[in-house]
Amino acid sequence: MPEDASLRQPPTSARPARWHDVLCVLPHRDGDLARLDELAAADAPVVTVIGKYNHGKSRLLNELMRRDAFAVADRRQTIQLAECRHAGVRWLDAPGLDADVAGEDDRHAFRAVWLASDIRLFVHAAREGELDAAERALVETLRADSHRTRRETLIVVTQADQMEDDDALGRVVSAIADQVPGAGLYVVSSTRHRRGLEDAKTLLIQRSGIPELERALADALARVPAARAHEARLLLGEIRAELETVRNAEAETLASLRQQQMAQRHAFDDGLETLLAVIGGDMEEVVSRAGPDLALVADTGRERYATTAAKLERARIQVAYSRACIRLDGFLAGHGVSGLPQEQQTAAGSLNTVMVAVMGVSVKFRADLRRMFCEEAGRARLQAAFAHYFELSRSRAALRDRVAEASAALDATDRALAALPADAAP
Amino acid sequence: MAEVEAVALGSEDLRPALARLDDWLSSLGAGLVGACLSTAALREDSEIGRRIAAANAVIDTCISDWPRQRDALRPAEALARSLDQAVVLLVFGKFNAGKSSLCNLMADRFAAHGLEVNSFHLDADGRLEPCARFTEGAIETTSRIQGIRLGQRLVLLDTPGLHSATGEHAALTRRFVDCADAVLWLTSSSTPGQVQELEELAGELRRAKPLLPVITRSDRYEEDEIDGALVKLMRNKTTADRSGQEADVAERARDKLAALGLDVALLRPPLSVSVHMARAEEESLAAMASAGMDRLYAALRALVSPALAYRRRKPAEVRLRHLDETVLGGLQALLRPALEQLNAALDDATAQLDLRGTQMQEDVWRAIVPLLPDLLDAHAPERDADGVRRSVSQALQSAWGEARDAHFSDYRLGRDGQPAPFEPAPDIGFEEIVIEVEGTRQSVGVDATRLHAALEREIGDWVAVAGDHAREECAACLREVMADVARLDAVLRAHEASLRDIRNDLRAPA
Repeated sequence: MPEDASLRQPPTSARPARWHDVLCVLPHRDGDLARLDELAAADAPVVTVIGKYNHGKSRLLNELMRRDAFAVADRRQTIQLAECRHAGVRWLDAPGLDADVAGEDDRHAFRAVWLASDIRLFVHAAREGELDAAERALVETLRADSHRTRRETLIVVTQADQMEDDDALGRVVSAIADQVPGAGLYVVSSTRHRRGLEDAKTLLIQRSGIPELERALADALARVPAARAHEARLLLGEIRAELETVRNAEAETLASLRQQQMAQRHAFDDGLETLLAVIGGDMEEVVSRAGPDLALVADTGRERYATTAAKLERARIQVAYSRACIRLDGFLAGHGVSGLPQEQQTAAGSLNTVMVAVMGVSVKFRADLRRMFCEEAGRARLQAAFAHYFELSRSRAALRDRVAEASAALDATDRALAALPADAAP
Repeated sequence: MAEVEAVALGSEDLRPALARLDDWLSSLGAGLVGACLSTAALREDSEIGRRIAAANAVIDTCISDWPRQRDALRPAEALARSLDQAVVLLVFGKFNAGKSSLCNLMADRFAAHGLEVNSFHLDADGRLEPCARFTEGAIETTSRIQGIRLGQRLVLLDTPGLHSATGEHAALTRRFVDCADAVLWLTSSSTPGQVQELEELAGELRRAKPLLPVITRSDRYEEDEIDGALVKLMRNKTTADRSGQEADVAERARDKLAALGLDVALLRPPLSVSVHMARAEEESLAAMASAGMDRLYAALRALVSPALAYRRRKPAEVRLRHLDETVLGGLQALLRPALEQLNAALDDATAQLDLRGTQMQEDVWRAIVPLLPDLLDAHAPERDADGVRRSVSQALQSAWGEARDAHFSDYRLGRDGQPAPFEPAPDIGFEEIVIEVEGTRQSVGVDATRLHAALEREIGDWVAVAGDHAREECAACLREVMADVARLDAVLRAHEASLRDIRNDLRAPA
């Protein structure tokens, strides 16, 4: 593989459009999705060095790469994230762990430690003694991540040469080992390694600990392809499971809203049908009297008896029809078809408008009432007409909006699920 | 060292300032008790009611805690009295910053000059207990506050790391750091200038104590392989490396102080020392100088005079800090969030009033209007329109009660009267259907259409009026609580301002 010796800033991962549907539903998964993009790019494995500044991160990288690629000085140095390619590996020097005044370090560090890295070298200078609280917290987090994603973390105690003697070094190393039980520690000295190479001094090289670290690193690098495959499967699996949980909840909400919608409609339909049957029964008595429909006969030129009978007929019809209207009105109010008087500006909400629209304004005769209330077809027409206005009522419209909202959410989740690649290699 | 011994320690009359601080505390107590939030407007089990109770509980807890907190201050005051004749330097830094080594070196140097040197540690009451010299090590060793008196005029106070793993050390340290007149910030040359440590010092620096950064352990081992063995040699870091680190620490510390809103003039130029190298060659003058100790002495001399300014008003500063951080800070930390949550709940409730009111009116309407057909049928034989209205009135009262409980159960309504009863004018009644039969008028039935329409209108009007009444009553309840919150907030603000005034007067140059 040709070497790209130039230092460069790794590109910040643009959020590709293909995750848009997933991000709409699970915005907090943006880090995992960006990591999936890194995995999908299938570039060379990334080794990230992390730790406080001046603990010898850059110096260690230079030794591992056998080249002075990263600047070193006895003061704060690495502020920006720098990347270098060597021997089929991308080496990342993360900014110091320390909270910086500007706070810019954090963003770079996040990218280096979480987004891009396959292997982390956690670096701590021997002279600093035990890990402090911030370092311990980070190591714990990294080890938990190793457990989950199989990205490995090697703990490297640097600047071994800066300890008074082996006893002092041993005390520090065992104190750190107590702090992170079960983790392998690599004790190194970049200075010894450099000096040993330059002056061909084998003891210095051997006592530098670098060869051992290189062996461990080579083993870990060999495990990267398997770890990457595992991580991609893991992330996709987690995201899919989370989407399915969301989807189930949304489907349940939608089903329950639809159920409510149907139950309301059934209650309205059944109640109205019963009422219309009762009114029909009452009407039957009024309209089924023997003889011609005297109400249709004009008063003029009639016998007195006929005139009186016609008046009686009209009065009875008026009373029966008015009573029917009042009962219908009560039923409609109870189902929210009519709103309060002050809300009757809107056509759908107005009881009078609904009654007028359905019943008409004309004077009703015996034949009209029979047709409207006593015949199946007439009752069916009333049933359908009132149901139409029921659906236009405010509370029904509000419920419909909630159904539409729940249904849109479910569609979005289905789109997100469809956007997830099926297999482990995205 | 002779110069330090010769320092004259003045003092000023702090009794008026201390009296003002006492008055401030009693005024705060009285103000808070007088501004407790009323629970008259909303039920205790409502969200707002619970938040009101929580805010009142915070006030009670804080006030009843004051005597205990005042007692907790006494060890620090006792320590301040026993160190009255000395300038106290707080030696601050992480566990591995080399605090103990530096303190021990200075103790040895003072002793070598024939001055009396006493090590002590503090017991829980702030009394000095003599003890052996400090232990040194790469892992956390100091678990209590220890100090060294160097001659008569200088005390180094060595504290367990403020941000050490164990929180109790930090709490212990905070009890006594008030006694320090200036701060030495020790930061190891391996990772110099971990400025986040300064956050722990913000309280001290706000008291205008000067800050001297000391880059410790400014040395390194050089190794070589000679005849098959590793040979080690320790050296001072080079002047170039040292000044690079000093400039970097100065810049970062200045930025950090500015970011913390602190006076950057408190910051002294950082300097580098190597205790290890100073100890070499039996602490020869040359070894001391190249290890950076001469510069440290010069810096300490320069530190004494600004430190004296703090020392003169120390008793009042200790009390002021207690009132500011423990009393007022405690109140702010607990009461402000409680009041913010309460305000948020009040805003939510206000925003919901209209919708709730409308729903309540609709519920009543939907409960009452369906009753009309049967009521009209029942009273038609007697043509008893009043009877219908009486029944509607009763039904309205109970439907109203149910709707109010469903939508406004949080409020204590009806404190200034119920909505007016349903009593519409009885001008519209049942209509007789009368026809003329052979010259005489004769009733053939009854029509309720007009009465029904009138009743719907009357019910609508009543529901509208009663709904507005309930809404306005709820809004008044919320306004009452908001006014209470504003009153309490004003008490807090007024005392924040007056404590600031006392502080400014105290620190104003005489």
